[in-house]
Amino acid sequence: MAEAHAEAHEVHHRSIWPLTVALAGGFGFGGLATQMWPLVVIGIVLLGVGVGGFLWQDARGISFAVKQAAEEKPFVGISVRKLGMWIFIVSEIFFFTGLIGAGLALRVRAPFWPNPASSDFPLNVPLTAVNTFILIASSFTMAEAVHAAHLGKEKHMKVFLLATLILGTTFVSIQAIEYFKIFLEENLTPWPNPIRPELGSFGSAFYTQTGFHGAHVTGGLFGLAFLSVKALRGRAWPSRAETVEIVGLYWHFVDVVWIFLFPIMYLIGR
Amino acid sequence: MAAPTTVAHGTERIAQELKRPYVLVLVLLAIVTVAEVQVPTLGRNLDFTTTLQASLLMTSSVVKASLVALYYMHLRYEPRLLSLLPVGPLVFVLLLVVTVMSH
Amino acid sequence: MAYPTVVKVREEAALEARTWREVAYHWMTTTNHKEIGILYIVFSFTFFVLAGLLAMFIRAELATPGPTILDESRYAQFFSTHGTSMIFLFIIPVFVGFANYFVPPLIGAKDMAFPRINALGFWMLLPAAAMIWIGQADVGWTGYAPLTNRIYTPGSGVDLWLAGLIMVGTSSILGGVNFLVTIFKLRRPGLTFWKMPLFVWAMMATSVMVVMATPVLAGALTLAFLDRNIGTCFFLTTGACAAHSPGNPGDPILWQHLFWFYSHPAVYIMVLPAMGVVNEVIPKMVRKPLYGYKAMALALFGIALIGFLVWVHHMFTTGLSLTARAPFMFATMAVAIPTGVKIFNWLATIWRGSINFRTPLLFAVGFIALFTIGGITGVYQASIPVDYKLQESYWVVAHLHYVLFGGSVMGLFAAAYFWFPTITGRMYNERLGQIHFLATLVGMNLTFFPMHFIGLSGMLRRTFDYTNEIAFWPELGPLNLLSSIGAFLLGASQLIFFYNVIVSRYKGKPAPADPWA
Repeated sequence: MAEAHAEAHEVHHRSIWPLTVALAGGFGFGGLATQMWPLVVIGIVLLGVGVGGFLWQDARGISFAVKQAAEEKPFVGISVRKLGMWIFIVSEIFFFTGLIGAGLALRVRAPFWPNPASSDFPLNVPLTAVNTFILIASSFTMAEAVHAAHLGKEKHMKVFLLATLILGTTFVSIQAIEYFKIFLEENLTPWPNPIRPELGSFGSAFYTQTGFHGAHVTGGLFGLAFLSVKALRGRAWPSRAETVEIVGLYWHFVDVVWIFLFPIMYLIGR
Repeated sequence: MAAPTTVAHGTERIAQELKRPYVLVLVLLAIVTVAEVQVPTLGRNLDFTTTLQASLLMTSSVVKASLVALYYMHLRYEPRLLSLLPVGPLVFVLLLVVTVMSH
Repeated sequence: MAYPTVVKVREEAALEARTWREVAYHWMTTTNHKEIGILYIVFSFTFFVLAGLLAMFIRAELATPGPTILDESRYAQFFSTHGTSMIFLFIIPVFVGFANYFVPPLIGAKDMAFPRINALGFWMLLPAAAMIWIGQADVGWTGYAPLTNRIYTPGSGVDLWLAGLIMVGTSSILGGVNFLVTIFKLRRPGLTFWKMPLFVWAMMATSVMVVMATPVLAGALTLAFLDRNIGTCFFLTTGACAAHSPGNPGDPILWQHLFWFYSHPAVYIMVLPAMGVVNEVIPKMVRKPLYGYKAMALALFGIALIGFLVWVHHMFTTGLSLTARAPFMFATMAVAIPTGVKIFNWLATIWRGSINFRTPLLFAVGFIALFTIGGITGVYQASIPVDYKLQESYWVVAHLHYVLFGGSVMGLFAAAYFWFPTITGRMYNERLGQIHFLATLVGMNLTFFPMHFIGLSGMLRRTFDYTNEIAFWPELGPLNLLSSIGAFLLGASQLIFFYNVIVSRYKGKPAPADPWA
């Protein structure tokens, strides 16, 4: 019985951070729903604290995943965390299917949809084409960072992680600037407006899809920032290459979403 | 017992890593993207229908996404079954999209 | 497939010595899959009681025509919160709880793959439940557009409902990912897929559905939230969307597509774990190996697969073209095939077994009988012309309660009695368990069977007052009264269960090594 106890303690580390993150969700969503903004602020602070707590515990050797010595087919060699990320990506595919599918449903029923080849197209195609290339390039640098991490090339990894972080930040910044420009100058709003009433459905679809994509990119940036800071401070840990790989998987997924979103919103018109 | 297999697996991986054509993939992605951006103007000048333009662009997107998934996300070097995880559900993705677009 | 005869390690003495602060801290910081499972189970049963109380109010109101104890808006809030809670805060999480407790030991794992994410999945339900119950939205559990738009439902009730469900959905997805990774990666060496217990198979199929369907619901809820608060035009056809953007309005049917793309699979998310439980209970209780193991496992995945191809059958009357509807009609009918395989195999397992007629088996057999009724009424309804008559009528209420109460909840009680000795180390009271079964069986049929006739008579679901209808169909009076009497019996009989469980938890006889020998 004492043995069972000791084993239980080895496996089960206590953690207050799940509850913290859940409360963050409660305050954040509750605040959004009731439009009580102080609650949202509390939620964001708690989210930072909670996620920080998760990572702090992780740094002290309490891994996200349980350790298992031997394993059974079919996913031998793919770690628990990596498989978790892949399955999470599957769920994200379906989230974006819902959003993009909704946009496509609006498109086929809308009497008007702007054409990128016409002069009154509200979006800036050349700028976003460049931005698309920036995001793709960040996928390339991320792949190189993963490569360097696996080979143990410390310096390469740092450089490529930072490059990815900078490219990703550039993407989000350009996207934000474009938002301001089209909102103020092209009168493209998420809601139908009297100045360009024909863009009602397009605006709803555009801001929702690119907005949620941008939020996912921003989430990935936090992951990259975390890895970069650790790398710059010279903190290595046994599973670091794999952690870089997992953040990389998420980053590439976000890139894949954009690969579809860019032509759908910017290039296919009517 | 598990440790040696992990190490062997690791070295094997690194050997594979060395051969990975990341730069080539980047160049291909860039070329396809440049081509994509030309489609609306070309389509107007050559009188392509919207459907044709959309098909062209979706095909190129699938090609780009596959490149990223196969090389940057390493699916080409992973056990085949792992690819089934993201690819299999695409049937339902297609079904949902087609249904909401056509109802 | 040997059942782990867990002899409960008693920590009671240690727990009793602690102060309540220490106990609270213990439960708030636990990452142990068994303790999280217990948290899930206790949480879910709490909402079973609360949502059940709402059902009592609903049936009390409907016992006689005309307004009696509730007013219309309160009634709408009650049935909406009843449905939302029973589905999202009771049936779905309670099976997650049992699976949390039993999947890791059944596959030889020390814990779930991501213990802290597992705890996060549970804790997210708490604020979500608070939001749903504070919000008291009155849009039904389906929240059809455009009713959820601020134009039609001002105030923050619907906002809280949407936000609460987004959190429940997130929790489900985290759980689903966790179960899949656990089952894929943490099986002990030698335990191949084809040797796994069928409860694990069921949780695998369920989790596949959760991971693929729930995000679509989350997306749809998000869009509805944006429609309300930002003013986007996804689902709204009137108001600003029509005024400023003529010809560019949203599409309420789109909500139904996205909602049912999740919510039809959700029915199987609720039923497959119950089937998994029955797969475990019946062979043990009839002392015979399960008939057709592989067929059972494949049938679970067959149901899961076809479950994704049928969602439009909820929308047959929305004016879709026949070409769009017919494939969904056939797919819906096809669900009966893997389900039939399962029912046949259960009966074949019982056939000539040495039957140990104790409470878990009673509930398992109850599951088979009642779920068959619910399944057959579903196939019947799948026919498009028949659906025109039955859509939105009380028939649908009867059908869905036969599936979700007759199916999921009966399976759940089978699980609760079957695993009670394992979880608590004590035996429940067999006589009280059997009385509970009988009262539940009678109460359940008395409540829901008349609803078939009520629906065929033409009474619509969500009806608050049937004074007008009763003038045309006088039989609605006695049928509704009968249903209400049944509901009170059903409600009261659950008290037996809670009394039995709570008393046996502390005073029950210690469980033998194999309680079902």
